[in-house]
Amino acid sequence: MLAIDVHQLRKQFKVQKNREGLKGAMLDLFKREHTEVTAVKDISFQIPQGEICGYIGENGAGKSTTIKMLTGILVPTSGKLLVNGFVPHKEREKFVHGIGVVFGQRSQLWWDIGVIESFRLLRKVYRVDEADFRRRLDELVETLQLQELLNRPVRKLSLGQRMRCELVAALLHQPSILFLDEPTIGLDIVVKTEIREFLKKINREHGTTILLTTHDLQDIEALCSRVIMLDDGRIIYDGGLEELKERWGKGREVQFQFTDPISLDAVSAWTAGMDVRWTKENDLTAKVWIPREMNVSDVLSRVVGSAEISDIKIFETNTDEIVREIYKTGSSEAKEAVRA
Amino acid sequence: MLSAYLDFVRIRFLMMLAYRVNYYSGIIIYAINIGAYYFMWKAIFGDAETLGGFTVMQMTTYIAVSWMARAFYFNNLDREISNEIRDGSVAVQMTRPISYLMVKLMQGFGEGVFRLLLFMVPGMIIVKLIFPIELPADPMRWIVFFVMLWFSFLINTQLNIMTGLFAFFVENNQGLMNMKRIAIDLLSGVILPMSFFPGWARAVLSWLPFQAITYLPSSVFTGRLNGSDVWNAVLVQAIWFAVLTVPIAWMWRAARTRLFVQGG
Repeated sequence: MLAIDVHQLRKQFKVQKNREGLKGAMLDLFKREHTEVTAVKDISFQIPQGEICGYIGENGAGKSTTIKMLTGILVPTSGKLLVNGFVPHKEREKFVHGIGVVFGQRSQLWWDIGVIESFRLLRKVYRVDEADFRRRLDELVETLQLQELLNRPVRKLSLGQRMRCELVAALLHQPSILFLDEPTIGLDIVVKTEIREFLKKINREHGTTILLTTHDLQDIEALCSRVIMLDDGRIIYDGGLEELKERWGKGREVQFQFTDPISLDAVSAWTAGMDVRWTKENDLTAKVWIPREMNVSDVLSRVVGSAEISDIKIFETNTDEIVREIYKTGSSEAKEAVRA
Repeated sequence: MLSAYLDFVRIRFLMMLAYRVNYYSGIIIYAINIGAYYFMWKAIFGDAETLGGFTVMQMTTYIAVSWMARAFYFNNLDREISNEIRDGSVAVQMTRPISYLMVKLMQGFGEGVFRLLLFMVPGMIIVKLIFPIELPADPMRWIVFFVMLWFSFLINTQLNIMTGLFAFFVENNQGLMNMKRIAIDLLSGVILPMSFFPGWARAVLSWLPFQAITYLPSSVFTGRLNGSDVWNAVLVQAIWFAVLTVPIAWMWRAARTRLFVQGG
């Protein structure tokens, strides 16, 4: 069964032009001037149950808007939308029992009360049975090691601590789908890793479907079997991560550490006639970019024959660079690449 | 479900208790207000027996009761809602199987109950000791007053919710909130009882919801309205409560279909 089924989904916003001052605000109440913005442009995708799917794109590409439609917050302008067998915005209160949502940038816990109080309140809100709640809470608290945080007010937690509590809050009612909007934003690497491991565990043990948006591609590499990439409201890539790398990974980079100072002209001269690009890091270090179809050893042999080298490092293009490249070239070119 | 809503009342109550300094300063501000209005009205009355149909005694009682009632129905839900809309946290709350506006209403109620118990009751006792006021002897009047006070809270909260929800439609509703606040204090009869307004203004005000917030309940409590007028006053409140649910429902729907939730 499909967890999420999206067909030709579109969202248009009227963004008003504001007139100034109280008088302007009053005028705006009666007669507003709008510009129409299409944030999501007829996208379609299906996510089967139990999948972890990454949803990526630049700021303003329409990720959050999609998530807000999928979670029943916003009503789509047109298109079909089925999550967990529900049309989210139509039966919102029933539908949200089956989903968990974490927005990395905003808290769903109550700021002034203890963490455990928030959890108890959520238990009532979601009408979770007391025994189920106990069992679930114990399990989550143990996995995320929250024991000593439970009685603290949320405002006294660090971001990492808070984020772990947010995850518990989103999972207390055993949702079958978990939406995460930038769950690792602002976290240190240790907490990030913990959270990734936790999400993997949840997915493995409970079969929870996870859709996450992120700007941290390591999240994607660690978690997702599938990536959906959005640009300017359109899907420009939908498929495996490996495939994405193969298609857009355009080459490798080799970094040389020389024993004697070098100049950019000198190093470029060694590889004259080859389609490579040098960049100088400092007096003793330079990097060369080699396209995928060219043999690395050809370049190496030329350089090794020309100067004394103290160290060599080879970098495979990482996902960060690939994605940066795609964002930069924009959607039109990328779309052709998808079709090709 | 109900127990969840009641929990929102309870938690807000506990939160108010946690911020005690606000509470103490609130008592002082209310005491100063009641005192200031008492002396001002005494000076205005001078040697006159009655003014605008009020005796000095009735006036003092009216002021004390109106301010104490204000302690119960007053809340900052407009500011809270508008902040939550502007920083986008309203979105988080909509992912819960619970009505956002009901939650807000309950939080406002928690605040009201807090002030009723720790503010209004002790405040009323102190005021009774210091100023010459006259409380009704008829228990029925007390009961009707508390029913009307509940409606005051509902109507005032509805106006607050509407003002707050305007944040969906205009990007800055600060001016509107200030305007609403002054309008309620001035036009509901806290600062000046309705009967002191000129005839034409009274005619206009009788068609606005403000008088249902303070003037009607305080008039019933001080014995200025009697017999069937009391029930009419309750009816006016009930009608306003029903009428105001319509624009709120409309605004809430419009917000979800047509408007921008801040922060992309």
